[in-house]
Amino acid sequence: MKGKTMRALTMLCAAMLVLGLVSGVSLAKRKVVLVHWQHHTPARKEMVEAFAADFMKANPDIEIKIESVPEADYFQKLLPALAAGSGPDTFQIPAGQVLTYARAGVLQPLDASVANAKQITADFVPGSIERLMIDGKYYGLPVDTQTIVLFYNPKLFREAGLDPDKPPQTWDEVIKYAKAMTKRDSAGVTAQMGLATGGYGPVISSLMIQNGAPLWDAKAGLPDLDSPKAAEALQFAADIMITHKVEDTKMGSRWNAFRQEKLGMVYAHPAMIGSFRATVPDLVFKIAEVPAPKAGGSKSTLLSSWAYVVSAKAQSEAATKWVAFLTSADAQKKWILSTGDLPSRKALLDLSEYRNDPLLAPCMESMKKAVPAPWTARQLDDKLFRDAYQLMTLKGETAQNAVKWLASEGIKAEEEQRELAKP
Amino acid sequence: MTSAQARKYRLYRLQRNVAPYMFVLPGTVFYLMVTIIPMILGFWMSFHSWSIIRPTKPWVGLANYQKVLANPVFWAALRNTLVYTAGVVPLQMILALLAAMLLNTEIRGRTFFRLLYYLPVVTPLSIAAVIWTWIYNPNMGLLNWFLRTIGFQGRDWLGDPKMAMLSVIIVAIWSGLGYKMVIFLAALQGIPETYYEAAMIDGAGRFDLFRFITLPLLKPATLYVLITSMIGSFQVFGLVKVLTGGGPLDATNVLVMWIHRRAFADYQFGEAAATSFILFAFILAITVIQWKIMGREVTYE
Repeated sequence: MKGKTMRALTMLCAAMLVLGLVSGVSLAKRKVVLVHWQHHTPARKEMVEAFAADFMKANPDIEIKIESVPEADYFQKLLPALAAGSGPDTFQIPAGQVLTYARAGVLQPLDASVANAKQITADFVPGSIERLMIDGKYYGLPVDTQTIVLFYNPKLFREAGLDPDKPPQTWDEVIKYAKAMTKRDSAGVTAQMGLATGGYGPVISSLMIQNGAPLWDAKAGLPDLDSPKAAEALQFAADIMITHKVEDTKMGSRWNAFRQEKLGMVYAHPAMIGSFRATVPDLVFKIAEVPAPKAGGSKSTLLSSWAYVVSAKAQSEAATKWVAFLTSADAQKKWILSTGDLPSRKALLDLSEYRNDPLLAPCMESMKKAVPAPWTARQLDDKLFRDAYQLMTLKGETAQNAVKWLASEGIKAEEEQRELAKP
Repeated sequence: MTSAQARKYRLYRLQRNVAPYMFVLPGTVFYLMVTIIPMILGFWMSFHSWSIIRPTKPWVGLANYQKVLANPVFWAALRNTLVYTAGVVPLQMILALLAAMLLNTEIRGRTFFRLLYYLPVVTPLSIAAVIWTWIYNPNMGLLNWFLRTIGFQGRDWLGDPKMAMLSVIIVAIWSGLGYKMVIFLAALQGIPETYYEAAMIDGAGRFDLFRFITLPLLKPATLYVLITSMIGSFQVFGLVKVLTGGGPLDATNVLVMWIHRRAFADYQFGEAAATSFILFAFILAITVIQWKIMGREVTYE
């Protein structure tokens, strides 16, 4: 009996030893794994992968797994994954959507021990974080921050007898310059365009902001787009094509036209710096802040941005660390060089290396003046403004009718989204 | 019967009874998972206010259906879908039948031409659509270059709301022609030569042969092609998404495009599901009508 008990005890001890060893080893090996999703561009994927490698070196207890999803499929993949609880730990969404996602309970606020609200408010440009704070807590940090600037081709300026060091300062001037650069062949077919907006939503809304249109009724919490100032700005955008005929959709993509030096000036996000450099390395172009409606007028444009957010199921501290790493000053310095994402940290905007860079200086200036989009409805990010513009350019509607339509559709879209963002 | 024999017989019976189900099991499970269960869930979803990420999904009864039917964009999308279907289906069927008849004759290089007509079917739709956006390019596109060469003005094929749907229809006809042609070709080859010979002896002309022999005997194939083409046309999405994205000004915003936009851009999954079921009811009704009208006369010999 005694022998049996001894044997059993010995076996138990041995078993516990083995178990202890195994669990000790597995504890030592256990890492926090963070699955990170973002929409894809080759440059962006490469960047984030490099960041992940650096981050993991500095934080050996955290492993980052990156999935780069094509933008066209991004929400189609993200939404069901979040609903099924199998979504990523950190991911990006448009800044205007943070409230909707947070209210739905799929996000958690950033870990205050890693990134506290006071510090974030002090460090970042207000416009870039305004939409990320809910009930006093930040739910993400800004990425892909973009304003609208004017890209132009100095060679075409010179050919038209214009001074490439003196970009247009007012709307009248930009039209005058555009006319000087527009060329047509003997059959009247446009061979070179002076200026293009592409009817792109953020450009149209930026023109409205510049012209002093309110865009938003803070009291009602709804868009306020039916105003004479908004109509005037829309008229200016449409006139570029229909009255002045310096933009012609028959020439196809405005980006290709600019790459082929067949477009003098184009309203665009600074991110196009990266795109032009990657696709046509020899293209010489310059950037200026957008021309103001009148001399001395506003150069404020729409600030559109995305946010890196942390899902409700993620390990809070590790995920916040990673998001903070991706938006740190060092990271933002790299972002701007490779993808053209503007820095949203105040300290970077006035760095001499940017102030003296002819391409980046106007982008930094525009960043200081930019106004964040106040709405939540994604249709207002582009589609509705573009449609209002096309109502004029393709269907001959008046600017007054187009903004009336835009206002009513905008309110409908925002009211619907507001329902989703209710607490 | 010995007990061993009885056991063997029982095993044999079991195999006979169970084995067929085992063979169909993987397919059935797959079909259930990717079609039937999502359909039932979609139906359930259509009676709820369902923003995919919100945990609360309140029951709203028929409100989603009412909202969809009261939305002018739905009716515009339905009209666009009908225009697309009316543009694609008849013309594509006539062209497919013509091509099949031509390639059923003894012409030199027949196999090559059959391959040529079938190639668009095996070309991935998204790639084909991108190539067509280049053909349609207003400035550098092949189509406008050709038009200018013969003295016509080029058009903005995908950027003009009046032209965009026509441009999409042309690509749709091109991309689906080969498949329909192959079905007609197979049906044509199933018509016994003796029928034609007998008719010719009786003095029938070429048109009579087509009118009284080919066409009636092609009815089963025609019905199949018609029904599947109609269903396919009502469900068009990928082609429109790549070519125009539903624009300009919603001129090519077809129903499935709108369903996608409502769900994934506006988070209105309940309403999107309701729209899907309205579309489903519509397709079902049209298919039943076609079946009733044409199916009656079809014999499968």
